[in-house]
Amino acid sequence: MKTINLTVNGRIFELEVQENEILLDTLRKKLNFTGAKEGCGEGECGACTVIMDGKAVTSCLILSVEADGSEIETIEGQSIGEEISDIQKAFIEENAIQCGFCTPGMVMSTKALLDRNPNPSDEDIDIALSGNICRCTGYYSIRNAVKRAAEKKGGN
Amino acid sequence: MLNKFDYFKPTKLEELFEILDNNEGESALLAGGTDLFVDMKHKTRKPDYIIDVKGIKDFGKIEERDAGLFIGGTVTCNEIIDSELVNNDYKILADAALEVAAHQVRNRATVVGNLCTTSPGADMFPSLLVLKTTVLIESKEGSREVPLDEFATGVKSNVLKDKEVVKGLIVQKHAEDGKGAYLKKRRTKGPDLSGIGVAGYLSKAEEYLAFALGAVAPTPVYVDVSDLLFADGSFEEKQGKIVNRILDNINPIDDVRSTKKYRKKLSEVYTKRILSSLWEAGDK
Repeated sequence: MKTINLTVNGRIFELEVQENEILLDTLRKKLNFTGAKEGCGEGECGACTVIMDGKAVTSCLILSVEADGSEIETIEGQSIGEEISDIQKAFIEENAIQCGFCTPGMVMSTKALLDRNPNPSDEDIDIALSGNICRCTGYYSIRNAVKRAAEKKGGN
Repeated sequence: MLNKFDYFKPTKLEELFEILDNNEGESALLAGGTDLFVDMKHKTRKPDYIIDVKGIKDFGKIEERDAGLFIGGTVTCNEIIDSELVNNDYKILADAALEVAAHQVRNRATVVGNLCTTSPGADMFPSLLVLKTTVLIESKEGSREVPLDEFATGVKSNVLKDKEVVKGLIVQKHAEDGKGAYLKKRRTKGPDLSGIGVAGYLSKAEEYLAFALGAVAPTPVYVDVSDLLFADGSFEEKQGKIVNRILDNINPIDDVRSTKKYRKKLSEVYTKRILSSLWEAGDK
């Protein structure tokens, strides 16, 4: 066992983890942040995407001990109380959600993109979300949602 | 679920070698983990202990040195894509890095890790080969340098010995007129392993033209064709000779990502396409 410190959505946690524990499992099972999903478990689908120290990463391929000292953002941190974020609103308005399984990952990839590039081109969006697979909506509505989110945030 | 293992995160190379000396069983060096943890989930690797090399500061550097561009052992593919230095003088590396997996994985996956996994289709291999790259290897016994062309020994095997670690790479700096291109064939528009990858690099000032191909043989194939291009004869004749030499050097197979026949055809098509793009029409 190792003791690690994680800051998740601004809250500081000190917890014990096994060396072979995966960050996604720690978030979901120990800290109850169940927004990030396990799809493939191999970094292919992006359903487990969280932001770690400002970068979108697949949390299914990271050890919890590797994340020691890092700042994590998950979908749970995007809303303030009942008020959802501009990105979440944009996804709803553009009908970029159907079953919703991929959406937390999509939103987190979008957040990481807009944080570093408030005016993304179509190509920038496609690259940033290339690791997020959606089986329901098709990708045009998702790209439009990212553009709408950028507009809401004052870019584009 | 991953097997149980001990985890170490040294901050110095000496500390890393001590850990290797003091522990029994199978070790695994961890950089990005995007290959290692997939293998461990598939139970094809079960290390007894893992050494995370991300604590070693020098491993994170991208910098210009006298010998060329230094890429440290933990530099990620996205750091290469975002590097001004790389984009100014080694653009083909940024283009190739963009072909590795998807954005989130590239935030973890490292260039050196891509080489050390030594897949025949590793996307970083061809571009680093045509630029001429040296692998910097460290062990308790000292340092050694291996040209990248001699690094891979087979499918997922390389010259690295037990208790050795790749500190980084030195990529040769070329004349200002140098330019390269990397073309990759994949099954889908989205992220995919390569069915074939071809890199080419031309510097007229150096009279240097080389190609390197991935996923067409057990190891990436490097072919220097400078002597054919910078000789007498028409462009068409030279192009034919260049393609023939490349076809003589590859040995593709049928597998899930492509066929032997298609890989041979694409080797020819991509070679011609890259050659034409690098060699301006007026020079023919």
